[in-house]
Amino acid sequence: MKALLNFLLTLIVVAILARLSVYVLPFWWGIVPGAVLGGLMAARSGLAALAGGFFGLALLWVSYALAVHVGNHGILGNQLAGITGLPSSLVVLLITATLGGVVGAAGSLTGYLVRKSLA
Amino acid sequence: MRYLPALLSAVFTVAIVYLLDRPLGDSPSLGRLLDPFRGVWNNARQAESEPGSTSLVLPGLSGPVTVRYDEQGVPHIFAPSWLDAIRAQGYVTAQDRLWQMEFQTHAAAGRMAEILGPDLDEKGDGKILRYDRLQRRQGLGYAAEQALTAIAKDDSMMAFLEAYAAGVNAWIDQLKPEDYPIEYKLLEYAPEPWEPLKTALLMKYMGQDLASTEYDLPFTNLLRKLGREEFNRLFPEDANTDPIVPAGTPYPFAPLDLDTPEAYEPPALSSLPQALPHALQPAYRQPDRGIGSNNWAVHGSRTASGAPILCNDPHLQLNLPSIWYQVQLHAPGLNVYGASLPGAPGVVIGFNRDIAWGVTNAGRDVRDWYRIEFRDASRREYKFAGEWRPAKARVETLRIKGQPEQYDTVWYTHHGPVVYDRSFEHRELEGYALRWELHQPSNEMKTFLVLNSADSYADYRRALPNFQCPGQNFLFASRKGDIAITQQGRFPARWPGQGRFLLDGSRADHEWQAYIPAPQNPTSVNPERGFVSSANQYPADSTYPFYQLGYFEEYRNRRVNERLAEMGNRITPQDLMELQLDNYGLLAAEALPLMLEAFPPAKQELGNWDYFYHAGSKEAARFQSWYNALYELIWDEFETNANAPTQIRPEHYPTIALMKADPQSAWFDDKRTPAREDLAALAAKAWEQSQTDLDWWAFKHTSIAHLLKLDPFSVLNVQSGGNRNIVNATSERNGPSWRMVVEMSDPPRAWGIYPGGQNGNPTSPEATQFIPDWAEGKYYELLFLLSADDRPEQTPRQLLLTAK
Repeated sequence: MKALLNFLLTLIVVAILARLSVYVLPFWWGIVPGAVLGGLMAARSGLAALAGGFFGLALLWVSYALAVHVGNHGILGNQLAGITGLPSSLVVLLITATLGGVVGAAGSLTGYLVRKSLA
Repeated sequence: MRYLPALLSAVFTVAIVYLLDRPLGDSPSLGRLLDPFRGVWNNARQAESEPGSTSLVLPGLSGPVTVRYDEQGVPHIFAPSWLDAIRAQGYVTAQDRLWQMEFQTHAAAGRMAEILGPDLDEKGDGKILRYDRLQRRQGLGYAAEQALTAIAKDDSMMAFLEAYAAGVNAWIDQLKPEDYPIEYKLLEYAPEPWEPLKTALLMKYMGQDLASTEYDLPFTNLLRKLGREEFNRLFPEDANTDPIVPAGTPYPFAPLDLDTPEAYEPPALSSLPQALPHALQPAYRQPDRGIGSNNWAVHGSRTASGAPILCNDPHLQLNLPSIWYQVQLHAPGLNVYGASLPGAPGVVIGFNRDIAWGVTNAGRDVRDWYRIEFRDASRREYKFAGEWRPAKARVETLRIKGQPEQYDTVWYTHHGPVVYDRSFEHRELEGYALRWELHQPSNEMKTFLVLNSADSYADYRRALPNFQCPGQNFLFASRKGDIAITQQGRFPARWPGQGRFLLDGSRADHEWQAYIPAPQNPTSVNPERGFVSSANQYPADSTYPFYQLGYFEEYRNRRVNERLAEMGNRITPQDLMELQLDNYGLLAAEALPLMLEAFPPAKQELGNWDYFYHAGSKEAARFQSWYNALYELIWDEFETNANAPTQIRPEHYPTIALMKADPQSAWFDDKRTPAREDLAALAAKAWEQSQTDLDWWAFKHTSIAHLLKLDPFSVLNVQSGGNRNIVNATSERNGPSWRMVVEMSDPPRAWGIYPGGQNGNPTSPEATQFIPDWAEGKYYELLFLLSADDRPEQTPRQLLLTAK
């Protein structure tokens, strides 16, 4: 239970901090400092850092992408699937989520490990 | 040691970011691309226009400019001065069409490899780089620079181009990389500043599109191969069906006295068949008469309202974003509405309160090839009139994505650039120089800007002389009741046959010796028949004192003139919309009876066909597949013979003439079979080969393709009727790129539509919003606002532009 709560906390903190840091840093990888800081502040285990970082960023990215996707009647998603040869816009959204998630997980874990090494 | 896990994890994180930041092969960086905040997803955010009012800063305005957008997304610009209107036009056009504007001028300048890389696919054949080199060797960049020297002498025109550029740049300057149009993100490059040279490049690019047709080299080969008599039979010059200036109109002037060579024989190409440079073979493969246009104006004496009605539909390649962008410009002394070219100031085809105008392509040949004899391999000197003349070198720098720059030296003779020589597509010492009117300094935009505020026939005449190339049929109608058409352009006065074949660059009598004086260009004003028209046909009948060399259409013009003649004296705009949408296949009407006579069993399926190419017609598809197969079988010698000197084949008009005049002609014999076939045998064979039960639209495959040829950004298989050589000239890739009908009442009423949308963002539903209505033949009534506060309910969106 405790582990689950810590995972959820990490997820939320990572998502919020990543959104803030990418707002300040005008690059796609502007999410990384937020993820690192989130893992450092919230995660209490390596697993929570990894999973919270992954899903925190995956959800942040995919929710933005999904909001755009719906507002755009799915046009862009289908076009991207068509251009890249992917089977559907759903797969494009999943890849978007996974990319964000992998970067988030790596950043969050790094933050957690930094804290652990300083403790 | 206890820092090691953190360090390793940090290194791993950096490595992932680095990998995702790098382009993967040909595809762009995944991280940048899919980042929902700054990548391509951002292009789909707010891709549709929201109603309401916004304010933006456009530096350099002399006062506030109001831009009102109507339901179709057309900006109506209300400005305190012309220059402010043009500045705002640059700004709002860039807002909707920036990528297209820049891409087209890059294409003109031969800069495609810079953004696309040297190849189109994995073949590694350098196709794109070869395209770039050919653009440069043909002198497109040179031509644009020449144009700018002419424009620079005209202060008011230069001021327009600079104001337009400043407007475009104001838009670019406030863009952040995440706001770049999606094509920039997919190809990973950035917009560069706009400048007047780019407008000149655009105009020359249009000129290239419309003034490139000639078959000098293939004709030279064919003449040698076929002999003069057979060549003239298959490639006749007498298909002068129904000229623009009504036959019988007197021409009260004499031809110029030209130094004409006796018994002209074109110089031999150095060897057959390889003498035709490789790059030219695909270009010459099949004349595509899909590019062309219709326009006509009906005199008030024949309309229901008593006001003249003017119509125009230019047939160009159907692309997305569309070639046209609708705009209304309003300033003191100016109120004009119409289609503009993204990248050029003003309106190109449109109307104001007093006049309306439109254009079709003249199709005159203004592009000749000269064989150049170089003194030696250095190519620094060439022979002319018995002496050696110096050639000038122009070094072209080709930037290539992912590769070092390359340099290409092009030698310029007094004829023009030597396109083909030892450095390009040719092995011999000789060269082929291009004399092309497009290379001349010129100021074509001036014509349009004068027309934008013209209020009389006198203004129309004043506007025309600036227009040199591409030659256009300028159609005119005024509220006062005048209608007129003039074939305007700077055309060389040719001796008969000059420029139809390769010319000898060392002979003075092979040069262009004079231009036809502009006042002697064919023109028709308020003719008795009550209408003027053009559809890319011969400008004048054979009594015109000058030799008319060109590539002219034989079918649409006759249908247009026939319909206009029989329409009576109560013609309405709706009647003329129907004529623009007319699907009657005159070619089919002339070919099918001959084909049915040759092969009567086909009567069962096609005997009752009315020759209309409606979208749902099965007969149209059946006939066309049959005719296409027959055409291939008749002219198979041009393809299969190993010594075939060129890939071009006779046009449809002489093909049908041959069917009629000589059904036993040797051309109908299939040389691959031992039997001796005639038209009947070939028609039967073609019928068997060409079974189809598709609807016409599905057989035809009209597609409207994104400029990057990306299918997901394109609209494929549009359900439309018509075809090339038909008034509704919607073929596979070309068609009516803008349909406009204007009734010159006061105020004028106008209707128009083009196959695309004002918004150039391919992820927006607005990018293709007009296409279904266009395919169905609907029109939108164009909102011609008389003042800044006219009909506010019709413009849901407003943009206020202020200097600060």
